[in-house]
Amino acid sequence: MPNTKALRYAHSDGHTDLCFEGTGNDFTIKVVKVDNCEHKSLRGHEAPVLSVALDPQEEYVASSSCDGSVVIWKIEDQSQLKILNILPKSNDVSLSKSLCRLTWDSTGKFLFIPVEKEVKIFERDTWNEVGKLVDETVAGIFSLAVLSPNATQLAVGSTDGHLLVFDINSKTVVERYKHPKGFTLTSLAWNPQVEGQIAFCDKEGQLGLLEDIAKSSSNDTTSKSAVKKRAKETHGIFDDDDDDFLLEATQDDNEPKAAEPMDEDDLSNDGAAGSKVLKPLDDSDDDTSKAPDDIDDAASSVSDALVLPKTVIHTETYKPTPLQNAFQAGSTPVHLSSRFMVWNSVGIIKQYNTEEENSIDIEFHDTSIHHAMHITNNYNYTMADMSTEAVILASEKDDDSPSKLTCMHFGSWDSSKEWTISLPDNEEIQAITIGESWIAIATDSRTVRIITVGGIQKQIFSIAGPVVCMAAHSNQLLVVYHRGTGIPGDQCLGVILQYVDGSKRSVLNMDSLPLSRKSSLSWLGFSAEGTPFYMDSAGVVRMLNRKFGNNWVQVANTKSHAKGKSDHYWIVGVHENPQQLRCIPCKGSRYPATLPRPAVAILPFSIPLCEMNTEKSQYEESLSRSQLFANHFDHWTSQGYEFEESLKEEVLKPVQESLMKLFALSARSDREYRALEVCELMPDQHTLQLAIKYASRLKHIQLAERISELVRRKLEEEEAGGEEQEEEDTYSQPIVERRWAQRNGNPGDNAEEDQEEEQEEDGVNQYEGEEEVDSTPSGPVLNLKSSKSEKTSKPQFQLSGRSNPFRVSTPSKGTGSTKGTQVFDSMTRKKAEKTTPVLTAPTGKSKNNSKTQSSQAKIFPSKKTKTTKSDNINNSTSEKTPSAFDLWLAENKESIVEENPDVSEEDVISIATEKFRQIPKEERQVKLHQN
Amino acid sequence: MMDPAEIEFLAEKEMVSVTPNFTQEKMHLIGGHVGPLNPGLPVDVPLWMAVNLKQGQKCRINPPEWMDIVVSLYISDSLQDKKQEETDSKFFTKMPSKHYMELTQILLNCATDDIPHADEIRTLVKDIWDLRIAKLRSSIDTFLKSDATHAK
Repeated sequence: MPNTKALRYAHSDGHTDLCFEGTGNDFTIKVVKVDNCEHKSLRGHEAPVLSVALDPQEEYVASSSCDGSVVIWKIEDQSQLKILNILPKSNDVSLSKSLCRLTWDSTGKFLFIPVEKEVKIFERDTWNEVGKLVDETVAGIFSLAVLSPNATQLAVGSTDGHLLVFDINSKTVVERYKHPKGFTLTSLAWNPQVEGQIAFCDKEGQLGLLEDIAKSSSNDTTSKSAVKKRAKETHGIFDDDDDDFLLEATQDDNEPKAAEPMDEDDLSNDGAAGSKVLKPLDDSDDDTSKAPDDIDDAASSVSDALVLPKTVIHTETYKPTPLQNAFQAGSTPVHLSSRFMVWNSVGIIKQYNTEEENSIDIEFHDTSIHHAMHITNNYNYTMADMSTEAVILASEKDDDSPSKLTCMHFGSWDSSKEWTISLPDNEEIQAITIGESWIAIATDSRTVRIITVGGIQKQIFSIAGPVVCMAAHSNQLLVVYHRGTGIPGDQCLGVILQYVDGSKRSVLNMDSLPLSRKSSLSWLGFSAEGTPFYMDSAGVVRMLNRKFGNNWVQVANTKSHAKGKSDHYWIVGVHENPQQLRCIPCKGSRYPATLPRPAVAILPFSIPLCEMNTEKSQYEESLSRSQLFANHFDHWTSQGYEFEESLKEEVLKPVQESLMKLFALSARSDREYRALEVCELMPDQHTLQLAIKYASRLKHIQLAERISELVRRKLEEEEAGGEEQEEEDTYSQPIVERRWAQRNGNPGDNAEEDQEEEQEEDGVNQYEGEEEVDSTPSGPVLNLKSSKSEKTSKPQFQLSGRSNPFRVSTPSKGTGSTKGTQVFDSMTRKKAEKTTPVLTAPTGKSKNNSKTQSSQAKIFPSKKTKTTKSDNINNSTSEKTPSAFDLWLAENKESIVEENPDVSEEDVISIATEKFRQIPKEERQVKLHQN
Repeated sequence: MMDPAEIEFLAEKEMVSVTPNFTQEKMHLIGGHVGPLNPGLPVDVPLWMAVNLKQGQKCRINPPEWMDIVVSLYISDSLQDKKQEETDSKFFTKMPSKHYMELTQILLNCATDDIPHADEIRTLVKDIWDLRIAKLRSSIDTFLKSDATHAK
């Protein structure tokens, strides 16, 4: 077909020359003078000619050919001035990859030749390469180069569908457009009349028009024009109608899109609806200052003299991010022929929507709830949710039928298990969810309707924007809706967390839902324990922290677990205890296919703290995570649910563990202040005592002192708190004093309490004694030192006698304390071994006691800075009659020694302690009363 | 000499992943702890228990990773590849599981509906088995003929 091939031609501005190539076979170029039809033939190419370009000065002709050469001809004598073998060779135009449409500069000073991935610039006369235009992002080969009418820009087309506009002076890309289907561009042409328009053709024969090409963005001081940037817009026939517009919107916004003009400046300016009339301008220098909308580069819109008067152009490309559509959590897109309508912790509902089959499969994870069901999808249901009581299905509005909701209440004990409700004609269901014996429907009229599972319409309320997703758990309803348009690329979502019984205020009311940058909501739900969770399309999972101002905290990033870039996780359930994020890994997609049956995987949670490779951060993470995931117990309490206390204990164990580890770590690394901070976080006295011991073992005396101060403070607060409840008094020192006084005056008043408190005092005194001794490094009395070592090295023993108070007050502490000891022991075993030799020095309990008391008696009077409070304590202790244990011991010591003849005295005491503990409380008190 | 039943018995302590459809607390068995079982959540149980549960329609069996004919990106040793490897090698190659034959046999007998491409898998495993038996035969044959002290 070479003969019918369109001629490629070039003409000069003066219309004096016409130059075209021969028609394929003869490899010649003909130059025709327009005036007199005189023509000349340029022969020399050895293959078909790809392109010709006529020098504006009409002296030369440049041509490219399939033989791989670019030749500069002198028209006058038809000689080849220069042959540049820079192109890949090919047999025919149709086989050549590049069309090599070369072009001259407006003055003819430079020749632009698109070669491979760059546009080479050759200088006139010397024919040396003086520069090139390059763009890394283009994968294809540059094959077209066309100069703009005002000669400042060069449009370049590539084989992979890129259209770039280079600024010739700065050699930078000022405009970039990608053919949506990536077809090779075959031709480009600037509009000589309207500035900034390029028409282009692709190899499929489609014609497109690109409008509003940006002006040069370089602020060249030598050029007359000021910085002007034209907003861009395409009216293309290639506009991508892909329904996944959201993704597109979140992409880098370099591609011009057919945008609905939306001018934010209009609001402040003349209010012209999204367009402006440009005035003809004589002096382009000062119009930037005159231009009303020269607020920023992107918004400014000024033209130069080339633009025709009264050209209407769109000045803004601000395009609101498309609002994400409403969706059901745990569903896959509606257009799939087989999809998940929902996959949650109760079961799976699948929809088949093929030509042969239009049905719904309902399947329960736990078949004891209900057997699997298979129903025909007569009403064209698209939304579904399920709980352990009921399955709800909803259909969208149809031409002839209204939007419907069907509830299959299989938990019902009567025979009619199913009911259907139709919405008003002008309303359409957009999201549904089911809680504990209620159903919530959100419609496009921004209404949320609450219906009981039996079908009574109970509540109706409005939300402030189009609904995005809903979730429910027991009596909580979580609604996410659009609050407005976000910053470009972002969704702006609001959230309501409401108790459906209405007895309480909503927890979250019209708060905003934080999303990752340029992402949308992709899953919303509650954990099995009833804490709201959600995931955004960036894979970040966040949960509601009810203990910290109802804020959202990131607890996992599923993306960090994904193997590939395009792999995602699709959440099916969240559990707080055990901490499990149940999801389905999807290779190369955002959601799973129904077949083969996807397998559930479990991801761990992790809070994104800094420096996660350090031991400290790991403990901190474990600490805050365990605390966070134990918050639901408090919520349960506030909701009046009952649960086993041991469950909470179990969950809080890691908290204690990480606190201790963190304390030990801080203490070992001489971070005493930090260690004290850790102590302040410790929940119970027992842990604190262990901390004191640990600190003193490490010879962090000051730290130990401060911790004991902290212990005392906490004790006082506790007591004051108790007092407050009883007497409605505020916490202050005098109250404590009064209380002591009262008690001393009436010792038999409350025996049990007395006993407890007395033991507490013992504990406090113990600390003080210890402190005292420790704080005098050069102890004046020698045997003081021995008593010190005894005390510090015999924690276990003394503890067993005195740890009761905390244990008695809250029986649950018992497990905690043993656990704590274990943890601590495991960490400090080595140190304990070191000190054991001291332990072997045989000292009896009574001896020890008397020694303690005597040393205290010596020390306390000598100390003048003692607070009144501790004086009180001392007095009370010294005045104290022997404790119940002492009395009991005196009675039973003999029998114990008889029973265990071969143990040391010290062990006898510990056996006795154990025995004493086993005695019922009443009996102990009786003993005390008898004395 | 063990008969096939005995070998199957030994293979039944292999762990396989199942998705139960009922709730069960953690079970403390002689062979170790199993569970807890949560409906819809995959869990590893011994093969004998998996078979038992499957027969009572209490679970779905998730076939082991290697029990797949498709050459996938992440699983390098699908049966297809394994067979090729076995064919190419002069010696025995490492099998994906110690009891691959028994596992396949037992699982395909009781849980055909849970395992995609069951027939192909059966054929492939049989092929691999045959290859190995043939190797064994030829090895013994050469051993006997060559009067060597140990087989190669």
